[in-house]
Amino acid sequence: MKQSSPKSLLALAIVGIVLLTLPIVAILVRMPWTSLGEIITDDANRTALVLSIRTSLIATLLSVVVGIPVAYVIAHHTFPGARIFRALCVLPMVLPPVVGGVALIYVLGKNGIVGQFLWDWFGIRLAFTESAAVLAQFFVAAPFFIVVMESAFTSIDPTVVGVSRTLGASPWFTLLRVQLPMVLPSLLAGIVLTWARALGEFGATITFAGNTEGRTQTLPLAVYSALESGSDAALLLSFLLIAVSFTVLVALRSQWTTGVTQRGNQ
Amino acid sequence: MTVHISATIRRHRFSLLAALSAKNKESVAIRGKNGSGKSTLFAAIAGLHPIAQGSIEIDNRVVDSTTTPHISIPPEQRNIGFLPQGGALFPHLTAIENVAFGLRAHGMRRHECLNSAHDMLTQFGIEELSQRLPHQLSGGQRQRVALARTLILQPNILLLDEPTVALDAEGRDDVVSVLGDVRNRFNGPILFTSHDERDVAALATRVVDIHTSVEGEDTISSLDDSL
Repeated sequence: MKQSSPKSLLALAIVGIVLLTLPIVAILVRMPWTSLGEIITDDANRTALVLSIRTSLIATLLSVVVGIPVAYVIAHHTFPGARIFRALCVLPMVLPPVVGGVALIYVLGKNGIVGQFLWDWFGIRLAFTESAAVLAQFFVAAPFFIVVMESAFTSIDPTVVGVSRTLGASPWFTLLRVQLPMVLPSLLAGIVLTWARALGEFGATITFAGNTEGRTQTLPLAVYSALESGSDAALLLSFLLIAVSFTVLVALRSQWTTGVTQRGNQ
Repeated sequence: MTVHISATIRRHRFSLLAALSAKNKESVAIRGKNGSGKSTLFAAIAGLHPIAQGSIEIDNRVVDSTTTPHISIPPEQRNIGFLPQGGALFPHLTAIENVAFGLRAHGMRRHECLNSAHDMLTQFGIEELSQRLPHQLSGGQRQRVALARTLILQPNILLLDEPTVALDAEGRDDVVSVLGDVRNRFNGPILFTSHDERDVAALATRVVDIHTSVEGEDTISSLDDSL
């Protein structure tokens, strides 16, 4: 049945849609399409693209590996200080990313509370390396994954989990065969959201990893540098980021909706 | 096979004082109002809810004890058949995968599990539904699958929480007739809760009321701590 919407609501919806889509349209309109090939094949830009994809994928993987246990613990356990622990874990989500970068310097920088020992004992320096870019993206993006997974775990009927245990399944078996498959759509949505956030990360990366071409200059940093130097590359690199994000979002979305439908039709 | 419970169980602000024993071939109906703690009692016996005080013994083995040494055997090591309200089937698994789940959890090979699960579904007369997901089954069919999933592991005791609730008349008659067969074939004790006097009359060999002492020693009382 077709539902009719109130006219004023429709007007506000149009304002919202225009505000959200116009900036993207502006980039497409102003794009110097003729120099597209030149800028894409430019070594520095290609390196930035590859670096961005590599670091954001590693940051996402790290978010999944530690994010599932964190979300599981805060969804299932009530212990003293649980609320504070949860708030601390998701705090980076609302922090200005540049503050995250500063915080990371004070932990893992050469004089940081952990970084000084890494340097003194092992000669490891993390700040201003590719690993720093990964950590900056992880710090900013992982909370999104944790929030999605916590809410997914909480939504599972505890009786179903209990029955799994009475059927002889250990907590691990239950997690892998019952809880994670039941929250698969949320898991995939969380991964995409986290990856998109990591790919677009700017503030924490430039603060903690710097903006060194070929080493720590990810795509958003390359856009910023290009904009400062007034080159057309800013538009093209922005377009590249939009295209990559959009393609993955659409591909993943159609893939998991097909998966769920096929399963449902069996 | 026997079950012996003498425990205090707390949930939120309620305390449940349970003293109850059941032996082989007994089918004990536990009656009580909504919220009187029947489901919590079953969760405690299954090891899914801690007891505050006392002990639970199954087949002369202490599975819960608050006296030293403190004992709390995890649910996966109790071998209790627990059928919660509505069956609680795994929504992402087909009927046959649901039934095979417990065998898989015990480390049996996948095709052996599926063979056994198929035999079990045949016993319950629903082998043609084996590839259906829970949401494609009727209430009565879901309960049959849930019972098959429970009984395939040959549990020591059976806990059935409101097995006929929220079923239409046809589904209810179907489940009661299946439960009658299960009761006749199952050797251990069965504890079940029901709001429906017809279920109690059809299936129980003994009745225990929450709040009221019935038949000598067996009492379960539910106390509101705030009173």
